[in-house]
Amino acid sequence: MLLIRCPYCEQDRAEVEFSYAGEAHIERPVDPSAFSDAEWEAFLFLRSNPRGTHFERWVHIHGCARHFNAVRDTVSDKFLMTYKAGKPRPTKREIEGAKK
Amino acid sequence: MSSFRTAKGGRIKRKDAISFSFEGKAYTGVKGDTLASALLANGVHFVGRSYKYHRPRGIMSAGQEESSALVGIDRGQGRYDTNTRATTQELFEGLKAQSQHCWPSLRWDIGEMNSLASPILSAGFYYKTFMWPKSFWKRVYEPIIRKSAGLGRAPRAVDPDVYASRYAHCDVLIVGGGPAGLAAALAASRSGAKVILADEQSEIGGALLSDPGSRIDDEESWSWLASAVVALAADENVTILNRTTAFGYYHQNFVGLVERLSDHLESPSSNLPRERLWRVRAKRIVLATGAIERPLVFAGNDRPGVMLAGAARTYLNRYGVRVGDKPVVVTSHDSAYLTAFDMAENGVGVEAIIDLCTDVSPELLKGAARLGIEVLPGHTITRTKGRLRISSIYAAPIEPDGSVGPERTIDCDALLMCGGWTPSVHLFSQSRGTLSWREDIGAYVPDVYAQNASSAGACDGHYLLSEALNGGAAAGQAAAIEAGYKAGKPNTYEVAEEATCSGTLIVELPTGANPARIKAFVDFQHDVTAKDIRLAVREGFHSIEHIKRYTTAGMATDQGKTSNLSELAIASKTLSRPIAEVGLTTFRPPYTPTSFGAFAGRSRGNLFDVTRKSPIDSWAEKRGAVFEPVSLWRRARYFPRDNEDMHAAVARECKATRSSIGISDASTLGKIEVVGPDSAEFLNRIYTNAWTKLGVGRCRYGLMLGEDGFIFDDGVVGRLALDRFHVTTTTGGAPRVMAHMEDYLQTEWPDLDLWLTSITEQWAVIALNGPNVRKLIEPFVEGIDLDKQAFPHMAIKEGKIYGVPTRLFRVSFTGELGFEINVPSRYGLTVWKRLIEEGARYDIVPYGTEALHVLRAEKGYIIVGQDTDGTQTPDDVGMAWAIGRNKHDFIGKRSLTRPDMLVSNRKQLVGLLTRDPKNLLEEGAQIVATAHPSPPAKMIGHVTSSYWSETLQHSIAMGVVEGGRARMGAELYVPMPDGVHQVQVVEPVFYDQEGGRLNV
Amino acid sequence: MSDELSIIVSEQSNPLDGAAFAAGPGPMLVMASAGDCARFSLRTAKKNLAKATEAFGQVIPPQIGEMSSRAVKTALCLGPDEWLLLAPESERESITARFAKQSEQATHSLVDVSHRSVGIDISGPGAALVLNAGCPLDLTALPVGGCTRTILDKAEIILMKPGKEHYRLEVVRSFADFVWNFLSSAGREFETESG
Repeated sequence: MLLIRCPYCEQDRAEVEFSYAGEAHIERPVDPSAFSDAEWEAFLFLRSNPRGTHFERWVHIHGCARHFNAVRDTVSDKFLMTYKAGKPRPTKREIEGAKK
Repeated sequence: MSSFRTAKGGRIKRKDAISFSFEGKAYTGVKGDTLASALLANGVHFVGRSYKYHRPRGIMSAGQEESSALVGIDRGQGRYDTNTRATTQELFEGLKAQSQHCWPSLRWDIGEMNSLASPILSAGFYYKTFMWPKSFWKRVYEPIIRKSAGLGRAPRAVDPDVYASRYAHCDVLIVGGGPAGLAAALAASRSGAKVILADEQSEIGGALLSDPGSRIDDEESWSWLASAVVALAADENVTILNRTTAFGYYHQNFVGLVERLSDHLESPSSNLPRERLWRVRAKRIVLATGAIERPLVFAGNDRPGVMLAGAARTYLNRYGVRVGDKPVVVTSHDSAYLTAFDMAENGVGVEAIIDLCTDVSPELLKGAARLGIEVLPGHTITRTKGRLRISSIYAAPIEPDGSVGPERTIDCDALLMCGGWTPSVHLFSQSRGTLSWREDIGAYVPDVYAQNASSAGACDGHYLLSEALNGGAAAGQAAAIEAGYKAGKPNTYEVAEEATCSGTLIVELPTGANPARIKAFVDFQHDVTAKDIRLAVREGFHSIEHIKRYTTAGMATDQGKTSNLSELAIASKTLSRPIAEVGLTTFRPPYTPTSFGAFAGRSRGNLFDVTRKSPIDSWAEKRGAVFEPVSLWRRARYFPRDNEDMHAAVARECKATRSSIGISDASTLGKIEVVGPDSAEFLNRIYTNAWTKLGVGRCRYGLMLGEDGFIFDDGVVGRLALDRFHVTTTTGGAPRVMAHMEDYLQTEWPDLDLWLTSITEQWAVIALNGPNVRKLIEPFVEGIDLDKQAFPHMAIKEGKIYGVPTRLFRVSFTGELGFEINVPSRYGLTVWKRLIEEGARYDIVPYGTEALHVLRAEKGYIIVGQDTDGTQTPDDVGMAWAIGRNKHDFIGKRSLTRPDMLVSNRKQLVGLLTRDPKNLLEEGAQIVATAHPSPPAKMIGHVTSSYWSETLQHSIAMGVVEGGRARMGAELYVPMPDGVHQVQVVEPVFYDQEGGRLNV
Repeated sequence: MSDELSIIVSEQSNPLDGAAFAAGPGPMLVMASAGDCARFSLRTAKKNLAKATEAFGQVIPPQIGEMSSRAVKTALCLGPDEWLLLAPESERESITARFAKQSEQATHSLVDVSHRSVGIDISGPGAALVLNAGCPLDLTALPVGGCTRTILDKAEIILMKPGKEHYRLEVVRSFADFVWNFLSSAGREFETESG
């Protein structure tokens, strides 16, 4: 069972307290009606599914109940870092720094 | 039968005799024995038959790596364990053990003829033999395979035992309580670190338990061991777990341990769990898991009496048992000499030491000479004899060119073999560490660590006692420091007169015979021989993972603990590639077989899952309600009277509701209180409906979509104040609706000023429906004018009923005059009981979910999840009216104009009436356009809801049909097992189309 | 009607009414259902805490995991903008009224959840062990006076640690039987001598 650092509680907590909530940084458009069918399809269905660094959303559902974002390596399954919802996607350097 | 118990020594309690039985025969052992040591003390080697060839097998080891001595242990009352290793089963008074894989008896076994048929039972025989003729599969092959397949026999009764579980955290987890683990624990605990020391054996000590002769710091090893254990036990920061196997090493130093609490007891207390699953999270882990001795591979290496040399030493020194009176030792490693020497010193006449190596160390030769043991360096064993017990071996010199010289027979009653040692790197590998091959010791050892761990002692390739102690101490100290403690210099230990410990990796013994004609076993549990592995390679399996699966070597319950390296060495030789290149197969948890009970823990019976009960549930139970599960809740389905069946009860409940009053428990509905200035705006975005103009004190039915445009949930929302709404959801949808709303609020619209609070369990909800409801409650309601104009359909008001605060809704899911009385949960039962009492004058009837479904279906009200399945838009179910047309946006709106949402033949919800009013359609039945379509029939829809309507005296149904609304009046067909039913497509409202009954 | 009122108010029913359990020598473990009290879920921005403290009549702590407990009132910080307030039943209406007065100056959501959950007191040297039968937290790392929402086997709980060997948990009504049965089942381990 993984330990996940909740950026709100500032603690490493057991995976069973969390739920996964899909890929991160997919922002809902302010005006969906302005989206073409193809754009809307991409927003709804197309996900990056990378091998390696993945930005994803988690929620500390049985803790502080907050959504937050995480960077996880899909090969090693390791969390590289977590950060509060609304914060920008971390840079490569920030991720490297968090690994240490 | 003569006793093979030594006169003295060992760690057994000789005066505590224990009676037990094996194969129905009574024996006596002593306290401290395992089943294996007790049998050996009675001269019993032959304990079972092998899996495939049913060959007689004995006891090969003295530990958990045992691959042959597997027995069934029956403790009575459903406590039957199959495949129990006799070598780890502690003896208790009255223990009953049976052998496996033999019929009709252990001695005379019919399956033994499999051995004669062995040419067809070679590697991959399953894949080859049962291919043809096809017709044989069902009648011939399958029954035979089923009868003979499987290891052991599964218990049939319900397991009466309790299994416990526990999460634990520590600074340093040490796996293995041998010298390395003990030294690590001593070093780590001195720093104040919280330490858990886990060892699978009944007693802490590991290899020291078999080695009373060594001296540590001028102290006898057993005396040193005793003081070490006392010191650790006295430290409150140290938890010692014996009989505890670390079976799995997972992410971030999360390790699963199984502690066996009662398997060694004669009559355990009923509260004592049989096992406890520990889920340990450790800052640092020290692996001190030791090494496992390897067998040698030669013809007839599986006869009862053939045993690992180290095991024989353990039986002698720990259990006071001589495994034979005239043993022969065969070895490629120095450690076997220690066995020979210890036995000889205990008065056993060791016949010979056959050493595969030519240059034996002078010290060992001197030792053997002193004890009068003949050493045959550079010799091999070509074959053995003895049916149920080994009686002689054939030894022969290995000539310089590799050929084998003339044979010589040596009589013996035990053959003690040693092919070197394999470090136990299972846990290390599970932690995703990588191994490297050490040619000098012929073994894989830990190389790169993936987690915060280190290894010490034999599991790291350091076999000497001094190396284990000093390596363990250093590892323990380092672990404590890494865990954040100050640890002083670790102890250094001195071991007096330590013998050398080296060997050569020789797996398959040279032989003069044709290797293709002899059975030299590699995997004793799965009966895989050296020639099977060569055959697999010849047939094209070159990856070790493929060879393993094709031959099934290493795939039995012992997971190849004794055979993996032999398999690898033979494959490497056959492939002419170095071992390091061939690589190892993957180690996976569990390290040893782990009971399902341990994993299930307390999750059985009433703790299998949560059964949520409403505040009124106890009344329904007393009233004899039949319940049904709705998500985790249980809800009353119907309330049978006398001997009513469901049909009769539901008909009565429906009738009473339509004619006077029905009362039902709706407490399980999800409820969310939405509070804050932006609440209405938030609901505008979440629901299809518009909320801004909803007046305080009014309710509205709300429809919620996913972003994909499909119906996600529905429910009534009431406005309590400008900034406060009471939202209801479906029973099953409550948690996901809350999560959905929180997600959007937190991540998409954090600028909105409002909060969501789950109030599902704050309120008990009593739904009253029927023409007489107002009359019933009016006298008891305070602060709310129930008049038709003042409190119309779809209104909400706070007041009191029976003096209890209430949020009273005027809503209806039945089409009758309806009220939903919300009272704080603790009052729910009392208010319900009062309503039942007062309602007697109106013949009030409680109704369950089944009647509720009928009543709502008569009105064509959908149930999300029954009439919808996550692929329906509002328009598909005829609810386009619920979409706020002037709203710029809401969740799912954009998806409603995707091209496939606009096509005309989407499946639409319609009503269905059978031609014969008595015919009841099956929910889920398919709908077709013609009575007898030629296959494949095109299915144009399916039935979603179907009931008998007592009110209408007609069956009613709803279904989704392609372009359904354009088919009004059309005849369609529903094929069912009893024939094809003709149905007419109608509007999905069967009763009171004008809604007159609602607005009274 | 007032007669009727008194009859009803005295007739409340809770899943764990009067439940009590003790096990092991000492005893190792004592469990009892906690008495009824008023409970509120408070949601507001941290900047409004001074106002909220005024309305509640006791300090409302700002950090997740902090708990202020004095005399009969307790305030738990469960999330960055979420608090659970516990108070005697008799103060329910006055607290509600004081918060209502503030809603203009300090936007918040105060929701009465008095009946939503039940409390269980767990104490004794075995208290942490019994909780760890299903709770993945390192309970030694939870300070005295700390609190958190977490998991106990299949149930979500709010866990408070009023004393070194004293825990109080809150669990929603319909999970209370499960939690009680789970804990007492685990507690029966203390009724044995192993070995």
